[in-house]
Amino acid sequence: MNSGQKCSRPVLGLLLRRSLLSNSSKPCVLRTYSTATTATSTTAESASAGFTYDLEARKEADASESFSVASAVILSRPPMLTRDLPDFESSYYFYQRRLNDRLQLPFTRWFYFKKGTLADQEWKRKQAAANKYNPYGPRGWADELLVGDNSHISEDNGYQYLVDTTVTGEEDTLRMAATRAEAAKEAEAKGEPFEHPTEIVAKPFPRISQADLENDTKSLNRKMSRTLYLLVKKNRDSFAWRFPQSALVGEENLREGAERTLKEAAGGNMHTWFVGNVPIGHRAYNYPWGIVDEGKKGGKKVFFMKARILAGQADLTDNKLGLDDFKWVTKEEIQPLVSGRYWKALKGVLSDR
Amino acid sequence: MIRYSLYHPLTPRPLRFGTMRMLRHWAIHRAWQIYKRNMRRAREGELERQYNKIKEACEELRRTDLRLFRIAVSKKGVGVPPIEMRIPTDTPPMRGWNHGWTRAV
Repeated sequence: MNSGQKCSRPVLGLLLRRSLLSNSSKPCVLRTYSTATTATSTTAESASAGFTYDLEARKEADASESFSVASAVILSRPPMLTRDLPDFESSYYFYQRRLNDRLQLPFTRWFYFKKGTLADQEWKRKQAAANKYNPYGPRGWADELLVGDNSHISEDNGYQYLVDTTVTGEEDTLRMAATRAEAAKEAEAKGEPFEHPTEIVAKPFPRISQADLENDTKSLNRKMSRTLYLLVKKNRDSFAWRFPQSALVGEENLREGAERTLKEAAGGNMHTWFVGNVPIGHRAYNYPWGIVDEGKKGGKKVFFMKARILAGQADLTDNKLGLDDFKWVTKEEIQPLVSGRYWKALKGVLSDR
Repeated sequence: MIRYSLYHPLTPRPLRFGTMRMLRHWAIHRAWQIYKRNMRRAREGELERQYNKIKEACEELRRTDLRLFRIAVSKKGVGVPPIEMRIPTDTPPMRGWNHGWTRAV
């Protein structure tokens, strides 16, 4: 067993830390309690968690360098939306678009619309109303935005501007949808057979959802342009938040263990996909000195498996891992929730986007 | 169409910039190049870190348990991404995330 790991902070919570007292011979274990406290009966307390105080077994385990192996699931929801453009990028694109306008031939109405058609009239009407930049006019050189002018950024990604200035048939579509809905309603009132009209979306939906405004960390509609990770909370005081994790059972391999862990932790009502059989990260630590687990091992190695969620939601009712809460969080939001060593092991694993 | 482009009365002229405009343009161009370089380096760094983490994990697994290691790197049962996967779009779907999905028994 390498000596660096012996100094690792005990991860088992206060219960186990207290049980150390009777034999605190190892000076390198970080202690946050006073050594003057009286020792309590160790075996009875820690047996409930599956851990026992057994110095001989621990010495043996350390000598043989044996660890118990656990697998954890990093379940993530991939971004649903394209990334948010920083201000610099969107203004650069706008600058380039204006330069492009200056270098292109103008739009040729007679080539695309036959004279006297509805589309032709719509084009003329909309162009007359629009106060547009004209790259061929006398002020064609003024293609840059002035300082403080944010007119190129709009809530709806320029959708309304397109509707206002180009031939989209938007009004006709909406009028048609309204007529159909009315006809269906009348037919329903009369008791005649009718067909539900297909829903027509008047506008694209905003990129910021209700869950964002409420900061609802249980919802998967939050932070749609980022990767969200499932963190679960164990029912204990310290080191409670982490990824779902459990020791391997029997002959199962890492991936089977991860699949079982996820099912036991968050229920079966999630459509998930495990990305490969290879762990994407690991974390090794020793138990406090003298402590061994059920398999008489003195430490644990956790291997993180990657999974994606496609539909569904976590459900912690009747979970077998002693969890009482969960959260869908981004990479930055994980750091304040977990311990420093846990974060160090996972910082390079999680995705920045 | 060719005739249209050749004989259009408003043929685009080459961009002629004044001194200050040319300087501004140069500054914008340089800033964009530097920005793109930073983005690319950040992305490459992230991928490299993730790759190294996978490598370290595999090495650790090999030292811990050879059987688990062999199964992990065997690529058996890896499969293909499910068709329900969606690429990111500019605006969210009409119904949002499907929270009510249940596994068919």
